[in-house]
Amino acid sequence: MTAHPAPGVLRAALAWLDAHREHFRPPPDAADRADPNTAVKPLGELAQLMAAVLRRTDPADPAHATARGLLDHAWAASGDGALFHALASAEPHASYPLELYAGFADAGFRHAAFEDLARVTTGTRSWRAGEREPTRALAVLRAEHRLGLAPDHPVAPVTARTWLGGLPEPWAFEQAAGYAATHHVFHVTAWGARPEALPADLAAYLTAWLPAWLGTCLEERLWDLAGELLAVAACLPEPLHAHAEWRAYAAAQGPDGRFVPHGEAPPAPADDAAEFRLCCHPTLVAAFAAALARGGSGGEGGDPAPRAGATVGGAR
Amino acid sequence: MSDASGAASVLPDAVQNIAAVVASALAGGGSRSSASPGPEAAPETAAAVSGPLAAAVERTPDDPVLVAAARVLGADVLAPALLLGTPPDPDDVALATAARDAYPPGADATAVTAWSHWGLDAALRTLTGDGLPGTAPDAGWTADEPWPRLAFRLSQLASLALPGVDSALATAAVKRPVDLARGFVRAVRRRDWAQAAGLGRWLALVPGVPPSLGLPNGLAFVHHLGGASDARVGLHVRAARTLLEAAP
Amino acid sequence: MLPLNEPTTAPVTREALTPDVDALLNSAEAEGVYRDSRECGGLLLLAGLLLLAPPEPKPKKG
Repeated sequence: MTAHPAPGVLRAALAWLDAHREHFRPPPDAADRADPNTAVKPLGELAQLMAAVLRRTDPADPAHATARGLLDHAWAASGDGALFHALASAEPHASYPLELYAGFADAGFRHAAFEDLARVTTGTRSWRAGEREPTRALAVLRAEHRLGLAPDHPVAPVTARTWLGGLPEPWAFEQAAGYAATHHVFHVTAWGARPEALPADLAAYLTAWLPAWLGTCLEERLWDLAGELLAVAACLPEPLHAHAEWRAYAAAQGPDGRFVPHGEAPPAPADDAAEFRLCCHPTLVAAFAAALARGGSGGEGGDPAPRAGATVGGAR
Repeated sequence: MSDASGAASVLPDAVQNIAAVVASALAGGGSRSSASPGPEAAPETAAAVSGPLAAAVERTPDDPVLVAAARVLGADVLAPALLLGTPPDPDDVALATAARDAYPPGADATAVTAWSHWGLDAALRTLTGDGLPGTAPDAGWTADEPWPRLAFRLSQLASLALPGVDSALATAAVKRPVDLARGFVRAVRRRDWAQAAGLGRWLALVPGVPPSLGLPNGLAFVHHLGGASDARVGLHVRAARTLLEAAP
Repeated sequence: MLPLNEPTTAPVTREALTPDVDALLNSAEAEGVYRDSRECGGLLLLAGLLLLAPPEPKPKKG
C-alpha cells in the first residue's frame, strides 16, 4: 500500500501559501471602501485554517513551524488586530469582522478594544434578530461563543435550521448545499478540534453519504469542494480514510503546491495576483484537510486498512 | 451492413415501446393505489394492460425485432406477472422463451449479458415451473467492485430485482445496500436517470437502506425528470413502487 | 407509441440484430451532466433594490 498522500499535499500547499504570504496583506483602504471579500477575507481564512494546522501537527514537524510563521505574519498584517477594530468601527452591525477575528482568537491572538466593541454590538436585539442564512447564523454564533459572548444562546436551534441539520435527501446534493454542509460541520466541530460535538445521527448520516458526494465532486473536478469534503471526512468521530479519494485529489495539486478551485490541474507555477485570488481558498483548504487527515490516520504513511463501506474507490 | 445499421435504428425504439407497455401494465395492475395515481404523470401513452406484448406494439409474435427487444429487456418482459402475481399471457411466455433461446450468451459473454440471460430463464422457470435451473454466472466480482462500478453494473441488471427470483446477484445486492444507495445519489447528481431508476428498484428490494436516502421521493423525482425520455425509467420506478408496497 | 412499420424490403434477421442486442445490454455509463440551481432574488427585495438605486443622472441645466 502506498503512503497516504496527505503529508505531501500539506507540505506543498504550505510552501505555496508561504511563498505568497504577502498577497494576504490587506490593502491600505481595507477598513474603508475595499471589498471585504478580497481585502480581508483571505486573511481571516488564513488564520482560521493555520490555527487548525497548528493544532494537528507535531511541533517538531516543519509544517508546524510554517503554519506558526503564517499565523504570526497574518496577525502582524492585521496591525496586531487593529484592522478588526477599524472594520467593526466602520460597520458595527456587520458580522464579518467578528467572524474573521474569531479565527485569530482560535490561535490565541486577542485585541481588547475590538472585543469591548463586539460585546456591545452583539448584545443588541438587532444583532440577535439579524437576517442571516442558517449556516451563516451558525458561523456567527460560534464566533461569539469563542469570544465568550452569547453564552446563553445554544447552537442546537441554529444547527437544526441548516441544510445539513435537516438531514436532507442526499441525492439533493449540489454545490451550494455542499458548502453549507461542510461549514455546518466545521462550525460544530470547531474546525475539527471536537469531532465528538457532532451528534450521532449526523455522524451516521455523513458516514453514509459523504463518500457519494466526494466521489461525484472528484469526478466533476470540483477540487475546492472536494477538499472541504475530505476535511469533513476527517472531522467525523470515526474518520473516513478515503485513501483512493485522497490520491485522486492529490493528483490535482499543481507543481508549485497550489490547487485551482475546479477543472484541469495547473500545469506550471504562476505568481500573479489574479492567480492568487483564484487559488488561495482551495490551497488553504488543501492544507487544512491534509493536516486533519494526517492527524486522523496516525501520521505519515500510516494508512489503516480501509473498512468495508468506509472508502469510495472508483474515483477518476 | 445495411441490415445492421437498419436494425440499430429500430431496436432501441422497439425496446422503448415494450418497456412502455410493461410499465403501463405495472401501473394499471397496482389497483391498490389506483385511487391515488400520485403526482407523476405516466409518460407513456395509455396502452392495453391485458393482452400479449406483441399485439400492444403491433408486431407479429415471431418478428425478429420483437424477439431481440425482449432479449434486451430480459426478465422484465414478464415483470407484470412476476411483480403483481397475475398469470402471464401465454404469448408473452412464448416470446420470452424465443428471446432466451435466440440469444444464448457465448463463452466470452459479459457479466451483464450472462446475468440478464440467466434472469430471463429464471423468470420463465418461476412462472411456468418448466425446465431445470441453468448454471448461474459468476458473481464473485460483486464483492470487489468499488461502489460506483458495482452500482452501475447492478443498475444494468435491474430486471433481476424481483421477488421470488433468488440469485447470487440479489445476494450481493443485499450485502451492499449502502453502496447501492450511494450509487443512486451519484446517478442523480450525474442526471443519469436510467442508472438511478435501476438502482432505485434494487433499493426497493433489499433491506438495510438508510431511511435518510428518502427513496420514495427519490423515485418520484427520477420518474419526473427522466421518465419522459426513457420508458425503462418508468418501468423501473413502477417496479420499485410495487416492491415497496409489497414490503412488510 | 412510435409507429413500427419499418420497411420490410430487407428483413432484419437474428444474426443482424445480435450486435445491437449486445450493445444495448452493455451500454457504457453515460457522461455525467452536472448542474446547480441558480437563485432568483426575492421579488419584493429586488423591487426594493430598484427603488433604492440611484436615479438616472439628469442632464445638468445650463
